[in-house]
Amino acid sequence: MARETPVFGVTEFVAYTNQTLEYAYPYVSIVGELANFKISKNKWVYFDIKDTESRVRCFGTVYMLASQLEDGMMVQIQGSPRLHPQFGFSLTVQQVQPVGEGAINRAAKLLEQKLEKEGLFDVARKRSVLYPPVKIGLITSAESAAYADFMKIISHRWGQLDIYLADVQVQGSEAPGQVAAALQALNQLPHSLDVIVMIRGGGSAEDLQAFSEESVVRAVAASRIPTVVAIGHENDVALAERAADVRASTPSNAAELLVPDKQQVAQYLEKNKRTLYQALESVVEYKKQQVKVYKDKLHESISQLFRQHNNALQQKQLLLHALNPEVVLQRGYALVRKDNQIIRSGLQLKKDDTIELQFKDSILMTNIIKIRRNDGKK
Amino acid sequence: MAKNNIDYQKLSTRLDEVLAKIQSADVSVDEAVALHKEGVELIAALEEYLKGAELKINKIKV
Repeated sequence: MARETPVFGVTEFVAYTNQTLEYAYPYVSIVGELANFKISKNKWVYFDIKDTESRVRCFGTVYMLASQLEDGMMVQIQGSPRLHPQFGFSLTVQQVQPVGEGAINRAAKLLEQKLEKEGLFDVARKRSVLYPPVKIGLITSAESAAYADFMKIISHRWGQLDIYLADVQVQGSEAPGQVAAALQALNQLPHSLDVIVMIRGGGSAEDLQAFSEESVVRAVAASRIPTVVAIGHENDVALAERAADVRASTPSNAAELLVPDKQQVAQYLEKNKRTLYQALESVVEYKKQQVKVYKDKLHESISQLFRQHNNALQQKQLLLHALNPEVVLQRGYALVRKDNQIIRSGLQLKKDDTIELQFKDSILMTNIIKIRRNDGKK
Repeated sequence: MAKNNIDYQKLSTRLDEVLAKIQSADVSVDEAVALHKEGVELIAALEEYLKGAELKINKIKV
């Protein structure tokens, strides 16, 4: 008896097989090694998933790519098997992600390198933050200790703050979307903020993962408003922190960096009151000294002038005294007169002239007996 | 609503300038008197600002 097997046309067979596959494996998860990873026209993704003995072709779109992928990585895919009318058997992939710490770390490293190459972490991009700020955007979980610590420190240090709080998930699958949305919302507030602060406390690498997601990092880099980011503890560096304008080591540290300590400022102001006064005093004192110096100089100048005049006067007095005819007579000289004229030269006289001799104590009248020239001539 | 912060930065910067000038070597007595007065006023304004402890929290929807 001939067994009855159905006879299909090829297209029929393909359709039938696909129906069966859809029924049996509407959606299947497979773990294996990534190979031959290729992106075509920036839209279509092709790769193989394999193990030591088998290999299956995979196909998808770029929109399903959540992580950086690299040949050799262990990945888990979710997809549907299908027999393509032309290209044979393949899996249409809806999701693919690296699995195992090695692969996950590798993907993170690749993302970091990619973003670094694009310049998102460049120091030159980093802007300075208004100090102290007044309007602060805050992205955090309002129930977290990070939020409580931050608020405690910032309210203690400084008043005069307008805080705009975006309460979001800071871990889990919802977190990246909420954080990115919060960044956008805060950037679009009508009252322009001075700074956006993003904080979350310590946790495992998985807990902090949201802040190394590409969408979040790009949102931080794209923020028009300067960002201060503190994720986890001192040693945790999430990629969002690298893209931020200022990285704080912890949420508490963020509060310390953002605003001054009003107590310290008050002390500084108090000290400067004294400084101002002392500076004024010393200027006045210095000027007083200067005035005194000028006064002394003036005094000295005048005294000197006086002395000079006095000396000159004295000299003249002495001279005058010496030239006084009376004084000359005292010394024994005699004044000679003839006809009431003073005679200075004996050569003006002749023999028998009558002359008057004035001594200090008397006047003599006498006649010339003889004239003898000093130079010996007759 | 917190006071406009441009005051604080401007006042603070101006105070630093005043302090530097009044302590410099080439300031006249008249200038020193004026600087002292300005400095005292600036400090008073800054102290007043510090006293205003208005921390306001607004929740925004994401």
